[in-house]
Amino acid sequence: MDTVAGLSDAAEIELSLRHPERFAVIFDRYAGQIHRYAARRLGPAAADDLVADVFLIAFRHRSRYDIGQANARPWLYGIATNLINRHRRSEVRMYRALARTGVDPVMELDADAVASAVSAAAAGRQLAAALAELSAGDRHVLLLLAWADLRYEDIATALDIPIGTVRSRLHRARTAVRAALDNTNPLDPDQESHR
Amino acid sequence: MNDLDTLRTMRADVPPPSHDVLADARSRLLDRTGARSRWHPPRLRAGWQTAAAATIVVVLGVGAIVSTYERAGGPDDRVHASPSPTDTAQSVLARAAQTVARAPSASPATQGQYSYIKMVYRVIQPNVGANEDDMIAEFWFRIGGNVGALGRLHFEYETGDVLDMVRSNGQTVITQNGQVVTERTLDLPKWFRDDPDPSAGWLPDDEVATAPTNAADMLDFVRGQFPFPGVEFDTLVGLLTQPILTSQQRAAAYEALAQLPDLSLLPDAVDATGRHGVGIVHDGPQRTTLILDADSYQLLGYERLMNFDAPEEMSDAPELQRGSGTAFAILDLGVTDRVDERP
Repeated sequence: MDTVAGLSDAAEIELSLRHPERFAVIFDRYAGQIHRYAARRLGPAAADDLVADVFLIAFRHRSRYDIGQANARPWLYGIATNLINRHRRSEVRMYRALARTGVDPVMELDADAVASAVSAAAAGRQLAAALAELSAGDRHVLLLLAWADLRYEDIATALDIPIGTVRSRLHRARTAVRAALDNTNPLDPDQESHR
Repeated sequence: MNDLDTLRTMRADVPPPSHDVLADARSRLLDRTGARSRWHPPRLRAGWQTAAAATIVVVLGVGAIVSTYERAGGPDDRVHASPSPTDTAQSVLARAAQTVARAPSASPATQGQYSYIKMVYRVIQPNVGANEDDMIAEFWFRIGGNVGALGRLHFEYETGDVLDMVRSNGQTVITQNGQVVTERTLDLPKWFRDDPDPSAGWLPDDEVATAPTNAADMLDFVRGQFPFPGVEFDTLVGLLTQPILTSQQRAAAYEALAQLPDLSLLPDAVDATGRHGVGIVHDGPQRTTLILDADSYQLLGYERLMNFDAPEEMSDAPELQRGSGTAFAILDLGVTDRVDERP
């Protein structure tokens, strides 16, 4: 099912051309998950601003939405990715800080929680080091899969790239991550089945 | 646990957004949709033909192309170079790229300076005769951020009345024929009340600075800005109106435009002030016409009109009918050292 209830996203967006306020339905459906994704990448404060911008841009471009796409998630994640991309330097800085110190600048930890977080963060530090070294394009594909739970074809739609490019970027990114985690042979084929 | 599973646990406990954060974002969206207040050009007297003006979201961006930008005052009756009969949109854009590439770039703007934009904005709704809704807008954008931006909307009515709205540092001052009037009597557009804001698609100047100087990379760049199909033309037009674009970046943008499908040539296009130029037309759900000076290939303005028949149930929405849309014409632009200073 494409929506929680009622009309599909595409129908709501089409309806919003006549009744702009209907676009709030799209906001209500997806703002929370877009915020969560942005917060994981840039931190909650940046996500607060970004989520509003995502929906303002989406609203402005809604007349060009492909009504054949019943589900608007890929479209919205595409816009979010574009905005996140503008913060890529600070995103990478935060990964590097996590890799170096074991303390994640994105997580708002109190003082007591820091110690346990640091001890539990060994894998996180390795992951962060790997994420910092990925190209922005590879990182987008990997995190849209892992953190936004998009399917391959949805990632292709979100980033407006061929699905083959999604696969190749993902392969490259996962190879780097596996090498960083050092728990599998990076030459092994993908363990994740096609979704 | 494989690598993806491990990655999925990373930052899984990120704090959820507060109710206030989502409520604020939703409120901003509703303001933009016009659900709260649909803005119309202010009416100063009965009979002023502003009927059914659409909610206006100014789609400008305008840039310091060269310092010799033409001050337009009305229809332009100069003799212009015209495209030859064998010209195509692609050949004109190629010539435009060669021409602007030879032009000197404006001196790089420095932080603390302001990019200045003056334009005419027009609502086009032929079925309600709303072409008279011209507005002159001026904006000063602080280089390095929007802080300190100043916006001015200026209306000159057929009656001779002049209305000015100036927004700066969170304060709005409105004058009618030179006399300060209260804001309460006028419904200011939200995008102007918050902060003078050109559009949701306006690119930060540090992002514009990274725009490439060849066509292929330029197309990748604009597709990266708004990663869904069909918006390349509008995004490139928006880029052409950015203040700090260099001559080489501008040439690359023209070359990138030439690679897009669904282009045609309009040998004699007229902008919102009556200036003639050469039009590059892009047909999609909307018909967008980029209007360039036929000699210098400076951007004069552009027009975006609905290009499909709206469904029957939308027949009472004038802004959605075929041929309705918006147009703007750039009157002046450049870089200034202070707000309220003109190049």
